[in-house]
Amino acid sequence: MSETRVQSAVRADGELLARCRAGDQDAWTELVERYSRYVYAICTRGFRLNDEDAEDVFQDVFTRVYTRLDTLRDPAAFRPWIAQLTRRRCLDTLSATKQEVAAEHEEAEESAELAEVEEAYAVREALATLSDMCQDILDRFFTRDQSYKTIGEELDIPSGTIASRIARCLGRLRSELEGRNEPSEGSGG
Amino acid sequence: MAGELHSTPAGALSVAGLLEHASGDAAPTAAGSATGIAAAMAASLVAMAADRSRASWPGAGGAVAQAATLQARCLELARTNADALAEATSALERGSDLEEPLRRTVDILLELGDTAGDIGQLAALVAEHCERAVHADAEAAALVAEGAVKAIEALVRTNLSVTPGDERLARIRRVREQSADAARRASEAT
Repeated sequence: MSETRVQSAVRADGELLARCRAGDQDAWTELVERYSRYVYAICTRGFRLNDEDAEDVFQDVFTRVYTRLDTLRDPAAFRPWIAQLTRRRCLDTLSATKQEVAAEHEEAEESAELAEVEEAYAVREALATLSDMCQDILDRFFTRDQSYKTIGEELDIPSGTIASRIARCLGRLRSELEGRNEPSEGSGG
Repeated sequence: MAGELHSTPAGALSVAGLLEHASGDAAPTAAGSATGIAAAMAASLVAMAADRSRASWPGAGGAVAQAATLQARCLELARTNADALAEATSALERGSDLEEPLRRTVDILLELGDTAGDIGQLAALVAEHCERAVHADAEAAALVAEGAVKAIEALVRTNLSVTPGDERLARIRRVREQSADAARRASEAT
C-alpha cells in the first residue's frame, strides 16, 4: 500500500528532526518556519496573549524544543509535544502577569479557539498537498475574493470552468482532510 | 432603505422588515442593495440544490461552499452599496465633491454584477449535475442571477458618472451576456 499523506508528513518531520539533531542549521530554520505560525496562533488566538507576550512564549518554546530535541523519539509526537509546550508556557505567562487564568466559561471558549487553531493548521497542511493550480485557485476565490472572471483571466482558463475546478479542488481537499482524520494503521487493538 | 440597511448587520433583517425598508421613504431606496439581496437569495437556492445532490454528485460539497461564499459577498456588497448611495446622496445635496462617491457606487455595482454573474455560472453547473427534484431550483437561481445582472446594468447605465462609451458599461454588458448563457445552460440541462 502506498504511503498516506499523514504518514508522509510524519516522515518529513522525522527527517527534519534527525537533521536538526545532527546540527543541520538549515533543517532547524525549516522546522521553525514549519511550526512558527502554529505556535503563534495558539498564543494569540487560543490564549489571547498580546504580541509582546506571544513573542516571549514563541522564543521560549523554540529554545526548549532546541535543547530537548534528543528526548523526542517519535516524530508523530512532535506536533502534540510542541502544542503542549506552548500551552503550558502561555498559562505560565498569564499567571506571571497576574492575568486571570481562564474561568470555567473562558476555558470552554479557549478550548474552542484551540480547536479552531488545530483545524486551521490541518487545513493549511492539507492545502499544501494539493497541486499548485488547486492551491492558487482556492486562494484566489476564498481568500482574495476574486470573481470567476478575474481568476479565469489571470490564470488563462475559461471562466466558465472555474466553478467546476474549484469544486474538484475542494473535493480533493476534503479527501485529504478525511484521510488525516482516519486512525493511523496499527494504532488500535 | 439605505439608511437602515447600512447600519444593520447583513442578514439580520426579516423579509417583511426588508420589504418595509425598501418601500419606505425615510431613506433613499438603494436598488443595488435590493438587487444584491435577490442575488444572495439565488445563491441560497444554488446551495440548497447542490446540498440535496450530495449522494449523486461528488462536486456537490464544493458547490455548496462556493454558493455560501458568493451569498456572503452579495450581502456585504448590498450593505456597502447602501453606504455608498447614502454618501452620494449627501454629496448631491451639497452639490460638491460628487465624482468620488458616484464612482464608488459604480465600482460596488460592478463588483455586485460580477458576483451575481458568478452565481449564475454556479447555478448552471449545479443544474447540470443536481438531482432532478431540485433542477428547477437551480434553473430559477440562474434566472434570478441573470435578472440581477440586468438590473445592475441598468443602474450602472443611469449613474451620472457613466458616459455612453464607458468601459464600465461594456464590462457589465459582457457579464450580462455570460449570465444569459448560464441561464440557458441551466434550463437546457436535464
